Amino acid sequence: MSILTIAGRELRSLFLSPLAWTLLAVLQAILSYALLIQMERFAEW
Amino acid sequence: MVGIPFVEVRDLHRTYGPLAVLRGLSFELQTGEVLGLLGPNGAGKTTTLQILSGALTPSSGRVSIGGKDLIAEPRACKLLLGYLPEHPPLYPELTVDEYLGFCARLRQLRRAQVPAAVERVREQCGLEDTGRRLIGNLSKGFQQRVGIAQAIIHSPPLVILDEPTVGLDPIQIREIRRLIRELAGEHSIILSTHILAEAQAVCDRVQIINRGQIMLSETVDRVTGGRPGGSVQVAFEAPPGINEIEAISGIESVESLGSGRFRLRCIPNSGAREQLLSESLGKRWGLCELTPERHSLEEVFVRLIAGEEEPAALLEPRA
Repeated sequence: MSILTIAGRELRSLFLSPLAWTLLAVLQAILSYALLIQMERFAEW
Repeated sequence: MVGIPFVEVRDLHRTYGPLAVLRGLSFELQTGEVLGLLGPNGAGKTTTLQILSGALTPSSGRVSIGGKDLIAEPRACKLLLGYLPEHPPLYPELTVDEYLGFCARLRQLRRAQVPAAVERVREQCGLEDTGRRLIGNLSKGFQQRVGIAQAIIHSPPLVILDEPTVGLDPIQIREIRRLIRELAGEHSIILSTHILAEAQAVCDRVQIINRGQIMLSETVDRVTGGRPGGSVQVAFEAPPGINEIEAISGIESVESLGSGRFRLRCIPNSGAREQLLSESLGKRWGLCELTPERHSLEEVFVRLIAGEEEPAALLEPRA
């Protein structure tokens, strides 16, 4: 039970700082770029 | 109050590699008592408290809390105690309410009980207006209070505080001491400190530790109570010669302290003080001060640590 409490707090703390949000944003940008590349290839094919 | 001790420590040893920090520590704590652990730096105070709180295992020896063995039943024991380490374990990015709620959950309070418990400790520790503030933005004194609040959130019968007033300003120190006194009613408290005035102010009993051994374990009243008959300090405006004072019956020895001050050692119940008073009036010595010498805890501490006197010599005999 304590494990869940501790893990929950760590996760919440993570999103209190910009770090986690920044990482997510960067990841999102990379994924969208990959998606666009894929779609372009598909259109040419 | 004498009964089954709530905390019992027997023959505790702890070594860090070749360094023996605790060497056969034994003591007891009754319910509702405030025990002060005193000692110079490196005496083993923090190690003792860490062992008591279950954060460190002893090399040998036994600790029982509320009749349960700390090594055999660690979880049951840890629910009985609250611990404030030297540096309060705070998360600066959380608000006071969030943090206390987290601690309450860690202490296995049910979700439904958490808000009431948080509310209660905030009130006890004077944190009513800081619930929504970030811990990182609080002053050191308030952070210390949050640390104490965290230690008492599950109303443990035993509270262990490691140097609770370190780094605080004098007003905050007074407030923390008052808080400790308030807590003493329902909790047993062990606190460590090297500020002797603090131990004198808040503790019922003090234990002086040096090099991992208990040098003295006594009630504060008895340590500071002075000796039987006691020595007396006097000051005269027109000081007489030492031999004139020595001539008074009941005075054992006289020591001149300069500028008309003397330390007299009187034989108990011999009426030496009254004799001295009437002599000084009759011969116009101009007695302007007469104070029985009381031991401050500091004096006892320094003498003990320097190894000048045996503990028994510093105390008045038991009535």
